[in-house]
Amino acid sequence: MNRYFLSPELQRQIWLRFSWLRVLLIPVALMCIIYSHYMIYNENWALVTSSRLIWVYFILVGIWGNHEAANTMREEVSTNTWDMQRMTPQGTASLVFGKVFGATSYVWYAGILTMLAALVLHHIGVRAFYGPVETSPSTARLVTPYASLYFVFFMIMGGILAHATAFLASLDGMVGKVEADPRHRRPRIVIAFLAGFGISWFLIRRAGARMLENGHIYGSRRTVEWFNFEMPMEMFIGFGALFFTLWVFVGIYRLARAEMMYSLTPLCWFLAVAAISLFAGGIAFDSGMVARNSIFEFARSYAFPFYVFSLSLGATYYAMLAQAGDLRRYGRMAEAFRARRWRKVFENMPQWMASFVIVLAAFFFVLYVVRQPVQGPFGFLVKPEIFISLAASLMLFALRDGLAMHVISALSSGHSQKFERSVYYVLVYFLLPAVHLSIALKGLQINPMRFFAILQGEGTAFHPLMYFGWYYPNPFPGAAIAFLPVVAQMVFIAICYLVLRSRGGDEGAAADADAPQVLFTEKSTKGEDVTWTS
Amino acid sequence: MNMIEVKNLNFDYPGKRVLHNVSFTIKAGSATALVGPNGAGKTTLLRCLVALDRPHSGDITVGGIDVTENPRAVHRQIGYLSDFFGLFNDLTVRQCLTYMSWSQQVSVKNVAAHVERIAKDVMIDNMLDRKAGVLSRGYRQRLGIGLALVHDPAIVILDEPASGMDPEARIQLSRLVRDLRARGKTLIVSSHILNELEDYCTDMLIIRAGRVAEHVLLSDHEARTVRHLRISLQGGAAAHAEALGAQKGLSVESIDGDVALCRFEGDDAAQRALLAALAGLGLPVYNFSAAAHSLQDAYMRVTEKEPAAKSPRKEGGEA
Repeated sequence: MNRYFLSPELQRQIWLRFSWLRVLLIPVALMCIIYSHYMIYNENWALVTSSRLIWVYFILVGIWGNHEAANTMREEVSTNTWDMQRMTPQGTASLVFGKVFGATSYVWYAGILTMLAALVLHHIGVRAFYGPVETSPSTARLVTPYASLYFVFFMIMGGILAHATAFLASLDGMVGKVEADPRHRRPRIVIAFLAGFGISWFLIRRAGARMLENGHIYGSRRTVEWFNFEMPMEMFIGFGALFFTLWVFVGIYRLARAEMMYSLTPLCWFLAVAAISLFAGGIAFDSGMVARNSIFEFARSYAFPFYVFSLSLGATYYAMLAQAGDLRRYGRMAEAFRARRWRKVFENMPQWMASFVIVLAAFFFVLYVVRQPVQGPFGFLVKPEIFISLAASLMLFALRDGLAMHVISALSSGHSQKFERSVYYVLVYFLLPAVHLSIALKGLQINPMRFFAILQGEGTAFHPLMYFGWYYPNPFPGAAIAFLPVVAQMVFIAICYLVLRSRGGDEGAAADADAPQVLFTEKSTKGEDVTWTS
Repeated sequence: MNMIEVKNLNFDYPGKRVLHNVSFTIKAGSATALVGPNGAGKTTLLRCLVALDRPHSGDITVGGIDVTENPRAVHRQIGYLSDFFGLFNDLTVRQCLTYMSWSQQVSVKNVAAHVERIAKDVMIDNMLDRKAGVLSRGYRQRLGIGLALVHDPAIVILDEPASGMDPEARIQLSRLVRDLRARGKTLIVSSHILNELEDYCTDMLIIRAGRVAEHVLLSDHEARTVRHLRISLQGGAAAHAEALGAQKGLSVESIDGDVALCRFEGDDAAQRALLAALAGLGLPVYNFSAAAHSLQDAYMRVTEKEPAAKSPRKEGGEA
């Protein structure tokens, strides 16, 4: 026991998950499955077995694996072993590697054996069913190294990316946050599991299994245009899987480093949001999104900046909400600012502030793009002001919600915040618009039941749409209609905060006055060093 | 030499400040009792010291290293047993200690031998092949301490180490802590059981409502001159109060039936002389023993002087 395998954490996980019985169990179970299929089915037994083993692989890696990955941090935190590990000098990369691959080590052992059995049986089955490669086009199509390699790649990535995502989601929700309250752990685990499950489903069932069973992923569309690169669909999905895997591991690494008390800046978050927004923005160039040489060709140039803008705004919105629950970071930042410790200011800067820079840049990019002359027969229909007001009001709405979340956090205790946040969203996005819209429709003598017909252009008055401006991102060109309502709401929230805070502040000052003060000093009767200080 | 220096430390839980301008220093090789009521901020203070939580403001230096600037370097110097520590229940004691030795990057060639030595130090060597999950509370506590000591840290911080232990385990813990002190470790022990801390502590840091109420430095613990005696006299102590009060260095603080609680100023020799004098006077002494504890006295003096602080609500964890 003098050496460990790759990382101490991986070795610990292997101790937990492996025994001779468990090691033997998988080959025996696989042999039983294969033999029973061999006995039941005729000449297509190998193909049927292969197909079922892919399902077994999905259950192992896509369900059990994600469950393990999502739960490992919960176990560490709830059994109070996480703090002990945080204090060890082992490297973050070693710890993260050990946790992600250690928690799923047995799943991988079982999964890899199952996948290899499925692949071998597929090759045997295709040849047995369709005939040799030389004589059968089906066999030639289904047993290519291209399809087999992509199959293996997607099956493995469907595990690695999914497990890493599940781990990231659980780590993000579990540690160093107010939300780390045990009562909130279960929903986080469910979300983490579902995130991993979704990725596994796509990469294992939709991509990997299809590559093996059909020789390709989609029948009709085989290529993707990303920016101006045209590539096979499977290559694009593989490229995307690698790209996201990289960023997910970067995310895990950074979160783990923060937990291990390294000082971090939001620079990495900034880079991640920029990279992911640009990556996804590249899809705007695909002809599946906007058809080539169509009357909507002009939309292509609009789509890219809007994709980048929307995605970076979405990421900023998430970060704003995620960090609104704990305002201590702002206090530390202000404290560092007062002390002119600029590095500390940057280290304590909330992530949303960093990615908001991208949002602003994308917004100005939108402004630039929409002011360019629009080509094509329907270009005259495109009004730049509509896009500008839509983008600006989207941004304002995000800021308003962020402001509201911070105010709720500042004014209420941690336990009631979730309830108050829910009340805010229901009120602002459902109840108030419903009441306001009903009043507006009644005032305009429009049958509310015909409202949706009006939306479709069958009515005479378009006015009701204006009232959306109070609560929803507004595509209307008038600045007053588009921005004023949400700005007014932000001012209202700020005033509420100041009023409520001033009341709370008075109480706080009174409480501080009761605090114990400096006491006394005393010497021993021998005059020795019995020193009392305060 | 100061091993730990804390200056103007403030710590907030969301919406609530739990440490207010805390400042103190701890000398190398000392053993400090950290005491205070529940919710006073003891655990939070310890978590800031061991760089597990980031303070709002203030400076903490451990062994000359700034905790907020270089927390990882501080981790290497500290062995910390938290109040609700966890163990890897499905691993054996040997595996737990081996894993922690690897994780702490202990620079020994023979990890197995190192593990056995640590297990012997914390008196758990007879349990090496048992799973941690089946250990009794006392053995779990010993294993927890073993895990904290595996990298031979210069500073050992124990948060409520004796909670839930039976008397025998407490005595063994007390021995272990004394042994650590003898080996030159700087110790901080948070506990409610003051008479146990009395055995090995050189300082007492009292925390109340997130503030340092007092820092008592008992520079010469073994030779403390103020002690409290419990003298039992047949037929009632009140009848002999005057004779007792006339003894040099002795003052009667309270009387309850046969028992007189007295404050005595003097060393061991003076105490022996007092006993002889009482016997010489023919007083019907049938019991003569040490009574209250200095730490407890000091703590009680502080708590009696101060208004009872409101116990803060727990938010985001044990304060």
